[in-house]
Amino acid sequence: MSMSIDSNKLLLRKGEMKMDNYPTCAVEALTRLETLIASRNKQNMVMQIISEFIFLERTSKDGDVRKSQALPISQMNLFQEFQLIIALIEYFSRPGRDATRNAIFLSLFGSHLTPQRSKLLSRLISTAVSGSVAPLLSSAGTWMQQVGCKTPLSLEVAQNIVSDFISYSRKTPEQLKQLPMVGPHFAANFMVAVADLYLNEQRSQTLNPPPDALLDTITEWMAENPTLCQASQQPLVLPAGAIAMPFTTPLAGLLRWVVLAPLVSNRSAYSNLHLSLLRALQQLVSSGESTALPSQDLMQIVKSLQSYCARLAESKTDPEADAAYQKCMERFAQAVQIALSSNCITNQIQLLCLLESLPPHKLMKIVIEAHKK
Amino acid sequence: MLRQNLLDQLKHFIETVSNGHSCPQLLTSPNLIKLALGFLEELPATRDIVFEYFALLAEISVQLYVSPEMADPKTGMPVSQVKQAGNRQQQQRAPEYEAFNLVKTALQSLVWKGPPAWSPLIANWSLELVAKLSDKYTQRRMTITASCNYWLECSAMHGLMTLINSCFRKLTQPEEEACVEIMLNAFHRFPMTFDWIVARLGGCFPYKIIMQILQCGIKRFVDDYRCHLDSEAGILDYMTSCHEQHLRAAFREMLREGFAPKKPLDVAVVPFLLITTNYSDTILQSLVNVLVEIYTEDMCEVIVQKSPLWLSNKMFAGMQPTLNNAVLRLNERGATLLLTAGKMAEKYVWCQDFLDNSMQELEQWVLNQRNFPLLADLAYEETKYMLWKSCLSTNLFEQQTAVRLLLVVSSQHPNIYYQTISQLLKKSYAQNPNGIGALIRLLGGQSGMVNFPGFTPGFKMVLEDITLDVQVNNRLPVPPGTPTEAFNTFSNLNILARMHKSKNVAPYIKAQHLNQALNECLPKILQIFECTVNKLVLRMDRDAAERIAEKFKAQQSKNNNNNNELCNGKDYGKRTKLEPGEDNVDDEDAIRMRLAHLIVDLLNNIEAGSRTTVLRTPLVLKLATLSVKYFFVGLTEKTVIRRAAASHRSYTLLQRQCSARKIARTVCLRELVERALFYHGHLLGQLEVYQRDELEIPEHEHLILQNLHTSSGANSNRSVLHSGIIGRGLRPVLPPSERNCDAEKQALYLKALNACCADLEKPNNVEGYSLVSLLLVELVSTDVMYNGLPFPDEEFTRVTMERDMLIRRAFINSPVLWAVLGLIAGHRPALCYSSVLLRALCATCLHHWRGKNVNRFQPTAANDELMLCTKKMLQLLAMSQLIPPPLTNLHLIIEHFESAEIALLLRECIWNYLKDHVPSPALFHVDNNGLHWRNTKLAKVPPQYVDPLRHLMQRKLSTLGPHYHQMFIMGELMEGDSEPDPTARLQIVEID
Repeated sequence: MSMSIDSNKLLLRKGEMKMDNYPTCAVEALTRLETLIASRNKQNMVMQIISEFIFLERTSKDGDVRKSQALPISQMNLFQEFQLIIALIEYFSRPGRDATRNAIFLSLFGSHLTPQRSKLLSRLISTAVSGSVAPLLSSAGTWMQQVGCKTPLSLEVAQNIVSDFISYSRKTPEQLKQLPMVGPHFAANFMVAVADLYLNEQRSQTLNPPPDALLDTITEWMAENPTLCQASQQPLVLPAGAIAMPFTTPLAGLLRWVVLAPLVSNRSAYSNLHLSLLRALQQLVSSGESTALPSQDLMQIVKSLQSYCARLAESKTDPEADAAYQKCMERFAQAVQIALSSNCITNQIQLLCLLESLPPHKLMKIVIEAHKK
Repeated sequence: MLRQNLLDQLKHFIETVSNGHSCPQLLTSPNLIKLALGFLEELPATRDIVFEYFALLAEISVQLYVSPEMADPKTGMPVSQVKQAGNRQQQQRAPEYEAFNLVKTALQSLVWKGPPAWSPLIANWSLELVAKLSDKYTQRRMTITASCNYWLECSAMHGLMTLINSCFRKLTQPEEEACVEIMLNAFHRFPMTFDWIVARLGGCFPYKIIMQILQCGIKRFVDDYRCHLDSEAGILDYMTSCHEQHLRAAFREMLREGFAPKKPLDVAVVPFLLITTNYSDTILQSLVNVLVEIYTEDMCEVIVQKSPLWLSNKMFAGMQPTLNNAVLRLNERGATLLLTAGKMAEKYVWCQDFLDNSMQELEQWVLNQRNFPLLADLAYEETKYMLWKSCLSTNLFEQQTAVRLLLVVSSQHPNIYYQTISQLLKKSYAQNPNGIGALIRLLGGQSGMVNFPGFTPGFKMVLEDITLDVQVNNRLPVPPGTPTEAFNTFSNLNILARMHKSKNVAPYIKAQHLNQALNECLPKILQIFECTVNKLVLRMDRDAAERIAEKFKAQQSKNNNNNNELCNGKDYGKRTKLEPGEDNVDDEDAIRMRLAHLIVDLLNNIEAGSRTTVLRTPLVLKLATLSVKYFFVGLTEKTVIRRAAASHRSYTLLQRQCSARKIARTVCLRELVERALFYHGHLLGQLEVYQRDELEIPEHEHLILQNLHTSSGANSNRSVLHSGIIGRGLRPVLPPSERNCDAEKQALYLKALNACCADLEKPNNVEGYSLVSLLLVELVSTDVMYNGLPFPDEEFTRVTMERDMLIRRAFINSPVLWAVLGLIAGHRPALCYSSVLLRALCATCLHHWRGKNVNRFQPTAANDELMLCTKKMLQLLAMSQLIPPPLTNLHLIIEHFESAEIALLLRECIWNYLKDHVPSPALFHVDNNGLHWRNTKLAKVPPQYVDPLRHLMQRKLSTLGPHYHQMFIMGELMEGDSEPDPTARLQIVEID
């Protein structure tokens, strides 16, 4: 076995000297990986090849195991990075098995990455979005779900896409608008991550509304693709033996957006989004999933509302007189009603009790009373 | 398809760029640039690499800029406008050199029109790039300005700076702070090559940058006090040109900390700031400005208290000498600083040292005719006023400092010197004599200076001012009692002149200079004098006229005895009304009078009009006229002592000019006589005539009309010539008792005449008196005919009687004429020239006495006008030796004779004698001393002139015995020694 590793390595080294013609050796390495990845025992070697020939990483001293624990330093410059990106895109565009591709993607970019690799990942995905590279996006969607949509890595990727296509862009590019068609799975996971980035009191002290362009884009996505939220529920194509991570839907996060939005903004896009959300919730009935809206996420909304009410109390304002709060509660009540009726809320009783603790609201009261029986 | 295309493009781009390092032509192809720019929109993930590519482009451009192949062969400087100016090879490379411009334009439009996220990105990128390039390609150390000029010529650098600037304008507060941070970090990394960028860009957030730079500097300073702060100082210096306010604010802040140290770093603030000032004048200037702004007495205390803290610091050790020339480098506030030091010098010795050093150096520079910034400060208008104020300070240090500074600036700006002299002269030094000290020091000029301005223009300037002041007379209201500027000036000039006269004071001023200067200013002084005196004369005349009018009115009402009460009532009403105004006027006049005295004093002190000075004739005439006017004005002073003082002043004045110049004497005498007779006679007891008497006559009552009316009636053969006016009573005549002649004033007047006439060199010269005599003839005699010396036949007097009467009238009107004639009589033979006057007097008296014959029984009053006149005339003749001895006593006894006898005596003894012995200078003998004398012993009087007298006296021997004895017997006894006259003795016996 060690022989075969060595022979593989030798092959690589013999074939194309890595320093001289970089992208070629990476491409070569990728094809080799295809074969290696199937066998479970060779994970270690796969990692080594990836590090050495694809990312050109060099630990301070070869072979020193303890030191290799430390972050390896890549020798790549920006141009090589982009050469690699092109190579990867080309590789993923080639016809091939989804499972293998996903496996390779996951091997290239695991859940713990050096900053350089994560940067490269962000660039890669961004390039793929720009180029509408569906296979790569599909793999990326899988990776996101496996890593976890709300993990820092995913959030970084999401953030990067937002800044690339929203902040630094004069108008929202077509590629982004068409993302749900090109890579619905990725789009859904991306929405989960993005929803977590904004209007989230756990992340920042104040409620940060999403950029207008982003909101418009997502509203458009939701309106045009009612089933988008369920895209993440599609089964993952993973290599044999791999365990699929539980999926999350963007519904909870987006619901937080629309419910809390009146506190910071009065854009009409939120109303549209709300409508789309309600529709999506309704459609969930048919699918019969009960985990679409985890009660933790909803409780987060309740908490934000509570703290808002506390602030209102400080400034001696009656919540009932506060139009923004009333609007929040209205939207919330509508969503809760539909979610309860489509039975996609976990831990309903707890949620209802919590809702009761909020300052009373007519519609909410009706909803609560209707479901308490 | 499109998407695939995009990826292909990316591939192409990456390949080209990664292989193109060696081939700039490929890299700078416009297509590639456009592609890269397209990526920014289409393929946002490539942002970083695209910017890296742009950086490459910029570097290519800079490389070209600094490479020798792009240099202008003539100047060796880089060719900036390659397309136009360069040679062929250079022009070929122009597209490479200009390639970055495309990028710049695109990025700028992104910044302006794109989403706000771009600005910080581009700003940071550009900053980093500029820092890197500037560090990499700077070949030699340059000043900040030079660096700026050098690098901004490069199109890529300029483009980058432009980009940064546009970005900075779009940044939000936190982004700005981040940028400042980046900038300062870059500065720390490349302190030698990044300074110009900081300086250039610091303008976008000046205060922050300045404060940070200062903090950086102080940190380095604390670490090593010998460190070079060139970069920091350079940046501050550069930024000061546009952002001085911010620098000042920063200094203020730092000083506040420095004076109340809390952190250990604060202790170093003051030494650090002082060190920094050595690097740049503008920084020094700002620091000084701040210091002067916040300076208070308390702060001084704090500094003194805290100074050990800095002194103990080893960094402070070698700094004192640098402080000294600090003042010389100041553009503004330098004078303020020095004066403040002067104010403190009494208290702190180090201030004195500082002042001494600074001033010495300053004066050294002036001597070497070097230019330095402080001069500009000193020449400011405000500084000038401040220095003037300090010149009057009681603090000697301050005052001397101010004077020295003024002297320093005067060497370059003469006008300031003149203005200063003018200002100082205008101030009063009654309270604080230091001021005059300042003036004297200032007049001394700067020792050692070659072309130091003279002070004459200064005098001229102040005199010009005063002339205006005096002429226009609409001064701002001042509290009463404040001396006017004119008064101050002249009193100061007087002090100077006096000091200079006494010679041991004021060694600074060269003696002849001052005198010369003041004499040069004589026209101006005279102008002022003229104005003052003329006003006084006008006032005097008006007063006199009013007084007379009032008197006459009173007299008239007394005569007519009507409307008495009404008139009085009116009068009182008027007087009360006038009083407050008059007071004011009097006050003003008093001031004017004092001014006149001062001017005359000055004129005497500088010996104006003396022979040594050259004067133009109009000036001589003016001075003469004014001197006389002043004399008359002086007579109106209130007390005897003051009158005497004023008169003495004018004597000196008159005497000096008269003995110096003949023309002056002529004018003085003419003026004196003319004014005494015609204009200011009232001062000398002239008979007052009420001028406006006739004005009250209505038109239809004019004499000529009345004559017409009456010429046809029964009384047509009578004239209506009355001694009064019909309906108005008698002409008012003042009672003779009031017609007294003021002896004191007359004496003063005669002395004045004497001063004019007397010749100090030739005491017996009577030229002046003769002149007076001739003048009298001219002014008193109304006719041009028969003014000669000889006495005609007595019969002939009928022809001239009318003229004679008028002459007589003149003597009645102006009693002073008698006195004048008396003066002349004393200086023989001057009276001869007035022969016509004597003749007229004699003739009229003769006629009047003859007329008295008609009613001989009317007794003659003792002080009858006719008798007095006769007596005086005889006295005059006797005094002037125009009549020989026995007749000389005639005036003593004349009153004892009857009118007919008097007439006889006058005709036989006086008239006939004079007719035969023409009163002419020929009668007199000139002795060795030039004295004119008539030896009466030799000129024996023929008896026909004496005998009538003798006979008459013999008749009244009882009363005239002693006189007779003295007149005839004594004379004959003395003569008798040689030739006795028996008849005479016989006759005496007979009478006995």
